[in-house]
Amino acid sequence: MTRAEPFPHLDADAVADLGEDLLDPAEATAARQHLASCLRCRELAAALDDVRGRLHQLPTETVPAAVTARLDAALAGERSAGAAASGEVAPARPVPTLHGARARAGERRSGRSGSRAPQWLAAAAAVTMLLVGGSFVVRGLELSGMDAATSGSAVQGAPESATDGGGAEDSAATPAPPAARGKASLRQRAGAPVPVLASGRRYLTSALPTQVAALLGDAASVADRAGTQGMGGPDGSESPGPRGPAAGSPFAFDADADLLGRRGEMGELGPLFGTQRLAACLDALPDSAGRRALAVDLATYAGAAAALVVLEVPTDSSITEAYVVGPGCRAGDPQVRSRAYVPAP
Amino acid sequence: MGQRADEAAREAVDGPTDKELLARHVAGDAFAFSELVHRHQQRLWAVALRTLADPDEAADALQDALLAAFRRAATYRGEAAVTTWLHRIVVNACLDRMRRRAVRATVPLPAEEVGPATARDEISDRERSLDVAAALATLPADQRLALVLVDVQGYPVAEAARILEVPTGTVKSRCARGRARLLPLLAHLREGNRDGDESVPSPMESPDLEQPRSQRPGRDGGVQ
Repeated sequence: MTRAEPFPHLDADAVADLGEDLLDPAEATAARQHLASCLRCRELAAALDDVRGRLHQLPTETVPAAVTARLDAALAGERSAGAAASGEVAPARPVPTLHGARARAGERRSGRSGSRAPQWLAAAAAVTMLLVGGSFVVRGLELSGMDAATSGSAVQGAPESATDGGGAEDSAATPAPPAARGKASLRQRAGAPVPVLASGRRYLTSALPTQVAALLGDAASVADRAGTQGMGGPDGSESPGPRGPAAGSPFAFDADADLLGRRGEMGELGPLFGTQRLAACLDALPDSAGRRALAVDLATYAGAAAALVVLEVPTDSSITEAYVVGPGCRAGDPQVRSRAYVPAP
Repeated sequence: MGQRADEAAREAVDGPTDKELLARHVAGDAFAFSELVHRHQQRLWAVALRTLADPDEAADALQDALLAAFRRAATYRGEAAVTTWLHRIVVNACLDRMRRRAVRATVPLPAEEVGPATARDEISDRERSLDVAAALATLPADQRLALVLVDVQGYPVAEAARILEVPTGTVKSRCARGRARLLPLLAHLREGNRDGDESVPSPMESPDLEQPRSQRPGRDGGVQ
């Protein structure tokens, strides 16, 4: 091993290039042969992998509230400048606050395609919203907290649901069609239950794309079985009995996971093994509003218990977003350990 | 559950697409652009913050970018995804900032307070993150941007290439060179415990280990 190396030692650039498939074929072959016999260069390759892993493990910093507010104000200024320049009537209160914008976003998101208000109606709604101001926000918040059981029936029109807010003015604010529903929570939005597996797989940042593809394959078969058998969740409060169909359960627990959960053998992940906890965890993920969870896997990451959550990317169906979260994932603290966009299978 | 039903459900819940929002904005909808921003600001912020390594600069760059996008929306031709277009504008705003502040000997670390009495592991995690972020900030702009998009944010190489408007091979090359350049800067992190595994000596210092490490993650090309 120390004598007559088949190739001089590789430098970091060469190993990094090899990793990206950038060497020409002859060089790549020689480099691979060398790596196969040279521990030192393999360690170099491992160290480069580690660099990659460390970059990926940089925590996701959420946008500070002050920055959000500043951006909103800047855009509001731009908006009123544009309106003034084009001779339109500038809104009396030109600052659509952070909350105003979010409330509008919720309203828009609830709109059905094909039945959207014409432009002038949207403009009328915008002006009305400025008039009713705070009450609109309150309404938005209430809607966003609405339970799955009630929001489904409140989708259409629903002027009566507006009465608690701004009275007559508020109902005037509803020409924009289906004004209810607000932010649907992950629980109710999934048409089909989210498959939950307990593979115990050791997730690695560098291998996430492959591992997520494998998980989604397994999840699809769990989902199929759930579709035919009506699998329930393990949560005592929501699942009437073992194997109960648990109508409306947002999760389909894989048989293995179910068994382990019932035996209390989920280890550190026990806390996440419950319908309500898991739902709260999914809702806590950054930017999860309006997105479907494709699969959950109870597993390990970096030597510790962790759950992998795969979310759809609504704006791009060619990728999915994978989150690795810790066992204590909950509202306000999702404990994101790692995150990656990976190609959709 | 059929895929079409899923899509219909998603459509009902998610409402207008990014392109529709942008079109409404161009047509004069006063709030469409804000909604677009709220949808994507988290990712855009992350890119700006990791690229500039300074929250104030990142906020400035993001504001520059969003105002530019607001004004230039009519020039969006729809050949790229709206998110790609937005990222491109943010990246260019970051490059502007970097050029403007020119070359500095040191890059300021994000002014972050250390949280109160956290567990030892968490503190060292935090320190490690600061080290990594600071090391990243020493790279040339093109390598830094490629690594922020691909390794930090986890975007596919092809998407990073669209954002940066360079061929995928160029992105890969910038990533490879950037990682190689970070290697010595991050070697000290490797000497301590790694992910709770047994400690491993730095490759540069101990070339003659007898046993290869088991369970080395495969060197698959990652994304793509």
